[in-house]
Amino acid sequence: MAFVNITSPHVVGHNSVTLMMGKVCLALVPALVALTYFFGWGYVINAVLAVSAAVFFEVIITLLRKRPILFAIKDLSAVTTALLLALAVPPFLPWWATIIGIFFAIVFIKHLFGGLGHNPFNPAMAAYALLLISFPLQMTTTWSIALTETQSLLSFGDTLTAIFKSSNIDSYTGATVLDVYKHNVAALTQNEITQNPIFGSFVANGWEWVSLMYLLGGVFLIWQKVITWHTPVSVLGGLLIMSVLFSYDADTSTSISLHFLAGSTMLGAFFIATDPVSSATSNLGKLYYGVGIGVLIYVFRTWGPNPDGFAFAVLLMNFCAPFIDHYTRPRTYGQDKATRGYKA
Amino acid sequence: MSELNNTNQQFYALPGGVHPPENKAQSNQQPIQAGPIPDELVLPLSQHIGAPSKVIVEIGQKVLKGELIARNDGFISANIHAPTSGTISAIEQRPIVHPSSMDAMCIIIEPDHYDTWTNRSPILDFKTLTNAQLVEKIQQAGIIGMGGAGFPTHVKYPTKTDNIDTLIINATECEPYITADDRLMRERADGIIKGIEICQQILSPKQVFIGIEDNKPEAVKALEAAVLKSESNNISVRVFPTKYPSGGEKQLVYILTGKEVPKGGLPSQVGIVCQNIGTIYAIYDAVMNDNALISRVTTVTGDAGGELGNYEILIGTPINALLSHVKWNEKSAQRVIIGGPMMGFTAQNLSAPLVKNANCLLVPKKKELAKQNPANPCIRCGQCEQVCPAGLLPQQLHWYAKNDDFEKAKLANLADCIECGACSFVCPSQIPLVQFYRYAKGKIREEDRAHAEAERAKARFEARQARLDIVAAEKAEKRKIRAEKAARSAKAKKTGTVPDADLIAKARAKIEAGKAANSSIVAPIIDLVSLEQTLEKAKTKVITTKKRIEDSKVSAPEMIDALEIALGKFVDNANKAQITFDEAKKAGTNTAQIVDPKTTAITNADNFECIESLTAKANKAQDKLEKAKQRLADAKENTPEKVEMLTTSLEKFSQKAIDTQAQLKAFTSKANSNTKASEQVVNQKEVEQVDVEQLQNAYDLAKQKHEKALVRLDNAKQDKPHLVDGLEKNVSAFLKKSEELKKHLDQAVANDPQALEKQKNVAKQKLEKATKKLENILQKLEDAKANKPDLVPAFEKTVILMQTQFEKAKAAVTALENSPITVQSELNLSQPEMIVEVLETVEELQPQYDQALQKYEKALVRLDNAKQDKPHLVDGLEKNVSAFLKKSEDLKIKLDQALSNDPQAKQKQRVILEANAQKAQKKLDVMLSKLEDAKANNPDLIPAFEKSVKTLQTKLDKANAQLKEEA
Repeated sequence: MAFVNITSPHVVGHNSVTLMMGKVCLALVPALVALTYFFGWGYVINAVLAVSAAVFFEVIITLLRKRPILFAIKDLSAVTTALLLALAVPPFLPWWATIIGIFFAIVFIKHLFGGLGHNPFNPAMAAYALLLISFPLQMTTTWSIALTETQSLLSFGDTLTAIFKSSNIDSYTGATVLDVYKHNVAALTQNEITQNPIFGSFVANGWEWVSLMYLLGGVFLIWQKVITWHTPVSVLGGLLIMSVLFSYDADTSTSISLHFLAGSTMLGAFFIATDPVSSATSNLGKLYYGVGIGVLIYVFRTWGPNPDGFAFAVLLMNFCAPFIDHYTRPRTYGQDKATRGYKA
Repeated sequence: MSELNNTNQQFYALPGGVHPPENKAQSNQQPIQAGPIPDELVLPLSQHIGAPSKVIVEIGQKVLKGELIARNDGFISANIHAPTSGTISAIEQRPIVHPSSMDAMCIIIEPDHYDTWTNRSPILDFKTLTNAQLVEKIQQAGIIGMGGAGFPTHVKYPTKTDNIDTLIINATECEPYITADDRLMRERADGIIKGIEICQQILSPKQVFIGIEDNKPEAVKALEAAVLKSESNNISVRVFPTKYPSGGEKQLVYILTGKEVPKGGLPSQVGIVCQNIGTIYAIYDAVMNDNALISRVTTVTGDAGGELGNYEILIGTPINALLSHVKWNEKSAQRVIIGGPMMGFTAQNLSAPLVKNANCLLVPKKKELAKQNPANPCIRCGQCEQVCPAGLLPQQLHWYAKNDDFEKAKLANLADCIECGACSFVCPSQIPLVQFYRYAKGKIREEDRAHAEAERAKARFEARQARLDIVAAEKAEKRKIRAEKAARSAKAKKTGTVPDADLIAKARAKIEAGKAANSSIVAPIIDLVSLEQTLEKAKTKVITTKKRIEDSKVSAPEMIDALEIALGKFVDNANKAQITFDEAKKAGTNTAQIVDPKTTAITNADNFECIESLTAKANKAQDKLEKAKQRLADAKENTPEKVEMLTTSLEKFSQKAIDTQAQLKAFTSKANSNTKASEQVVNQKEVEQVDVEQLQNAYDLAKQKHEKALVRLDNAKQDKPHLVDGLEKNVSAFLKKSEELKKHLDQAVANDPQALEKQKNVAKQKLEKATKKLENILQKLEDAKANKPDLVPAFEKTVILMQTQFEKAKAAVTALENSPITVQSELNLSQPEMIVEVLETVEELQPQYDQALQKYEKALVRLDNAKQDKPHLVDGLEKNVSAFLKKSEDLKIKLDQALSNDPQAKQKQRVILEANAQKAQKKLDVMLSKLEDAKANNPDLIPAFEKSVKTLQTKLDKANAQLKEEA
């Protein structure tokens, strides 16, 4: 018989991994534009550097694993990982740190666990955690000060030099808003702290726009059915609960608005926590998973040594995902009660 | 999830679901056309779920259209009718429409193309019929669910129908491309409503829902019009948005009622009967027109399908017959799909027939349906989960199926998957998910079946075991009763009569006694001695084992069990030996009265032997006692914990020593009295009758013992002064005895004319024995050298002993031969015979000569070895060599003589030599093969084999050389 033998269904939709990853990358563009506008060329340079490195490492490791190379690159998963890391790290991070992070994410977290779909952790966040632990100085002192009327931005060429030659750019770098607030809140009131020019006129100069761009991208992804609402809503919900419980008084702890509109909250809620591979899988599971991340972000930010804790929150919940999956199986058609746990 | 749409059309929204391109317009524009009458119709016996139908026709039989050809086999089964008139041409295995393209039993009809109907009896009003009659008609018509699975329809209509409140008519036709039901509804809506009314009468439901998607407005209109005409007032057409897979039975039940069919259950459990629209029409046709289910409407569609549309085909029409009827474009067709694009399967064999539930033939062109791309890995994006109408987690199921983790798959409710394919449809990684689920389901079914099988086997085995146990118990009970009976009757009989067993024992004893008396009179005594030795050995073993057990209690507790078992065995042996010994002793005393002088002499000798062995034992015991005492003393100083143990063993030893002494005393006195008796006998001058040979033997033995005793005495003088006295006595006794015997012997010799000859024979025999023994022991020594170096000294000692014996024997022979009488007698008697013998026995001489030569050579080799390693053996070996040389030379002379005397000798010799050469060759071959084996398996044996090969090689060479020489 000359006919092909294919099992049902014989029609398939026009979805593909490439399309999904491409949409994620697309959804990151507004935020990248905002970041560049407020914090300079560092983010664009980092993005290009990270993407090139990611593709390079992907090719090498695919070659070593004797897998089809084009097939692996085509799915854009490496590009997505690189973009996420590039947007998460400080803009003037030395180039080698970015390369190390990408290497760790692609080779160790993704391919050594079996490649796409098999990584237990989010590669970008694992890399971020690695960099934060290994190079705390570079990871905390290379944040750019946002553009204001008084503060100009580093030129493209100077940014390149800063990244590749680590030239002295002290007048352009500073601590993040979360950092400043956290370290001053013990002594100062909210009004006093926000006198600092980096807070700008509304919440945190520049950061609020970036966060809103992330939110925009996230809504786009939900609309495109790349992600479901469960994870981001529960992440933000978890954070909201914690900050309402503990940060109701902005004079004694980081304010609620800062929690939501500064740092990587929106990036994490819509782009990192929704990474399907390492997250919980059922709708109910995603809710638990998201709430866990939201609560942990607050815990790490408030009682941890670092000003932000998104990476650690995500990684910790990655550990819990398989467990959550077992206890959040949905009720199937015809069942009185869902099968939960490890026994029927 | 459940959202009641409160508009005109009520429905509950289906969770999940997808919207594949509908592609219905290609085939729903033309009215239903008649299908072809093909050249043959193939009717599988199993078109439905349940037992295959039973054939009721024969090959060659003429059948009419609508005639029953196969009857249902059981309740869940269906009738099959002839779709047209014709002849049964075959009943055989044919490929059928099945994903596995398997063969199944089919009835083949060759149509006569007259299409002649059988007798039918259409009715005008079904209300005249009872429910049972209606169901009977449905069953007779062989109607099965025509939407998919093919469940026999009559099964859905139970006689008791109280609990059915909703009848759902599935007019959804949610699969893309298929329009058979759409056309059927548009054209035959009245019939359908009539069919619904029939079902209403049977089930009397409160409400009837016709569920239909909103993409079939013409059908909806037609149905609504028909419903208006209907007398029934509770039929409502429910239209809901198009979404795949709304047409799944369970899904439709939910959409229309909001109820869910319980897991693993049937709709009837929630008061619902669900019926496909096509089935409803078939019911109408069967009840009203008395038409059996012999045709159905099937969609032919797809870009390569030719004249697309819906055809009313005869059941059993082969796929290719229909396709050629519609003039399909075979070349551009990519595949032929039976059913729709979502759940249909690829046809493997186009000669397979379309059956009762075949609703569509989809013949797409190459680019019409996406070809299957290589699947990406699952990224757990969860899109499948969002579209699953059953609420499953397809990504997890995929993971479990892929890893053969069927337990987890079961936990994740794999069984609830309806294989609709929605997950595969949306999968960005394009994984053929449904295929994974089918695989896992199949595996689970297989496992469950195996498990059930095992359970059944276990139950069977247990039942059998129980049965056997009962039988065994019964048997045991019977046996017990029988035994009791026997015991009772025996008791009754036992009133003075001697039991049988006693009689038998007595008879046996008698026989034994007779045997003993008849057998050689010497035997019992010798037996006695050897038996006693055995007994002693056994006893020693028991003692040593006991000791070892004691030792191991301290040092190696893990050995105790094994030792105790061994001890049990030894005790048994000892007891047996004791019994045999006692019996033999008794027998010995019995025969003692018939002693004649020569046996007395021998008995004396044996007594001496006994005495000697007893003495030795006594000495040993004494020795042990001494040692034990010493050990005890040591222990008292060093290891107090062992003292107790040693004390007991000391007591044992002393007891033993005393026993042995007592035994010795008893025996010595006995021996003395015996000696006296024998002296008397000698004095009676009856010596003439004494057998010279026996006397010679006895004398030799005595002499040997004397010598041994002397050696022992010497040893004792050095080591154990306390034994010297006893031994000295021994020596003198032996000396005396041997002298005595010597005297007897001399006398006997003097009296017997053939005595010398006999004496000589004995001596010769001895010599031979000694030679043999010597050779044996030398061989063993060689072996020991190769394998057990620790035994070498012992063997060497024995060799020396044997050599001396050999020397002595030789000396005796020479002495006898040198005596003048011997020479004479030899001349007188032996020579003529010998000559004759020689003349006759070249064949015998040749091997003898060869042997002698061989021995000589061996001896030479051994001598050489000894020169290197053991200088003390050289002398003996040199003598050996010369002896062998002499012997071989003698034989050579004899052989030559024989050769010169025998005219055929040369030939004979040649034959022998050839045989020798062949033998050598064979041996060499065998050895070579062994060497090969060894190389493969036992590398450590290689050197030994190589040596053997070398020797055999030389032998072969020699044999060949000899052969050449002779030639």
